[in-house]
Amino acid sequence: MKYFLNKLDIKFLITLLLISSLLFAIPLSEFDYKSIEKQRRTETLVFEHCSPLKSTAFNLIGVQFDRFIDQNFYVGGVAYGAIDGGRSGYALGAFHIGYLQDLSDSLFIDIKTMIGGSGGGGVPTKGGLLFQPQIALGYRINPFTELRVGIGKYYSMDNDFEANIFNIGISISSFHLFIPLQLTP
Amino acid sequence: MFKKVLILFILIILTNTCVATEQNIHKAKISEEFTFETHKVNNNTEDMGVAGFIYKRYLDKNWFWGGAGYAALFGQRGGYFIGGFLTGYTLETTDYIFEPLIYIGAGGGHSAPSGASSGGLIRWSIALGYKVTPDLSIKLHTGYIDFIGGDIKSWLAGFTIGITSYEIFSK
Repeated sequence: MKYFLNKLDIKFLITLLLISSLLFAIPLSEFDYKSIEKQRRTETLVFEHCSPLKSTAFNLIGVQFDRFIDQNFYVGGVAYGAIDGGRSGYALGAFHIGYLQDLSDSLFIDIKTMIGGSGGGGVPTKGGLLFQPQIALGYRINPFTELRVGIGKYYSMDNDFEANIFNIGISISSFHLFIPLQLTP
Repeated sequence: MFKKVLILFILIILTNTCVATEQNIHKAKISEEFTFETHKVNNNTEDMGVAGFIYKRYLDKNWFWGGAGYAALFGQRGGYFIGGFLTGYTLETTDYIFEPLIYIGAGGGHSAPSGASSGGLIRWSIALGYKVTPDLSIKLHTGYIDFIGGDIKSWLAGFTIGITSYEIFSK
């Protein structure tokens, strides 16, 4: 099996995964066209500054994916990795739920809570479980591009590690088309 | 040579995607799942809980493949992550699901035990599930995780909540 894994070309596997939908997809029927629904999705590139209360600060970059359940509520996930501060190897992966409220045509407030796992790089997260509430102010440059600046708090749930966080992000929004399974005969 | 052919192939597919018309709109069944499971590390002396996200793309009505990533939440190993590819088969009735799958990936991290070895791992599991709605399912699974050349060889158990739909795209 080790030999098999060594021979496995990861690039080939990724390519195959990406094109699998194209190879095995089904054309839409008349009924399918009538059942199409749309969902707003947002991808955000995030730069985050993390200031632990008991140790030196470090920075992270990562991506955030949001899927809107309705006009305001969304769920999603994030994946961050440390880029400096002597914390190389520190990474964070979490799910979140959030609420986005428009203040005007271009301004909005974004409140969210993350729960997930983090650790590495010598950051004392013990089991890894984290809780991170945060609030951000956003500016909509155009209907599909947003800038946001946020602050929050990082709590390691089973250790006394705490940190203040500050982040900035640039988001791209779009509508994802799908057909709910229950509408398919 | 292989790389050049691969790049050409990807370019052709991207070109098709860029010039979408109604005639080449297609659908593919996908499933997005939240999962939590526990297994043992450090020569089976430590319990650890990991949570993750699974993305499955169906090749037909039953066979699927995709990717999944996990992060440690409970135990002593914050910073332990797993990522990899999976393939499996979903057998379903109106209400119930039976799903064996195999997962090949890599794991470890700064706080991971030395038992992770070089990181390569094989994991298999069998899930039994209930369809709350045609879209939403809850599954319980058990299986085995084996870090190749490492000491982490453990039975695992967990649960999964998944949403299945048809993704629409241009061919």
